[in-house]
Amino acid sequence: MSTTEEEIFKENIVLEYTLDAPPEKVWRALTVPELAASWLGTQEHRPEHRPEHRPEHRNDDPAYELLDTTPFSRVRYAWRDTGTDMPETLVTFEISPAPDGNTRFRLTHSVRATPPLAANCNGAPIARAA
Amino acid sequence: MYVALALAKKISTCLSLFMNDRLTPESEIFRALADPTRRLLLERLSASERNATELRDGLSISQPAISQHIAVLRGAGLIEEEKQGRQIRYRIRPEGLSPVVDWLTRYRAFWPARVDKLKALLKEMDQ
Repeated sequence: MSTTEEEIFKENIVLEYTLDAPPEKVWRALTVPELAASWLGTQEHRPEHRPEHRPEHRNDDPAYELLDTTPFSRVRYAWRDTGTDMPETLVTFEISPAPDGNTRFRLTHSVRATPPLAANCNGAPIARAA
Repeated sequence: MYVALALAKKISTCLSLFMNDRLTPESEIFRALADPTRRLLLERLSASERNATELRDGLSISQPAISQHIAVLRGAGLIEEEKQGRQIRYRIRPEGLSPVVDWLTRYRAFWPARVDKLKALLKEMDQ
């Protein structure tokens, strides 16, 4: 079994870095829409602004939606590949203080997204923090 | 009567959502993978082909539930089956995984590039 297959079933992309900035600053870069847009190269799509599902409005830029945040520790985005009809995926950023005023930064991108409505008709819908 | 109507309405909503779901292979594949039990079944199958009983071995999941998961995985093209006498054996369908491999490849390149931009941004930002 190839490494790739193994990763598929764990289905996670996990990246870890130490950033040369305090957690509060990293936190702002993740949660202030203008700052996030500048490094992600994409805008936040809020549900109320979501364009109708019309092919002419689609492009290949991914889009994200801030799902929930734990101050200075965790931020989660619902990630959307707008160029395809892929369901949303889940991007989790975990940050914590590192020595010398730096930040330990861990990024997880997973297909274990907050499931869309249709995922299970028998269960109660899962409430989504907006 | 009222309950029956409400139930019928709920079922039709479910059905229409289900039909919408069938639009693209990608969305089926990713939804199939979004379930931890199904990922476990795939992990088992990637070690060797198995029948339903072997797949279920050691799991506290009912036979109908396993069948359901197998149906979802087959529907998404992630596994295939082969009749061997009275047995049905299941195995991974590697080509079914290619959209996931594409996704992984794309984001493995995407995120390090974005984190470089984040680092640059943090340098520019005021405290």
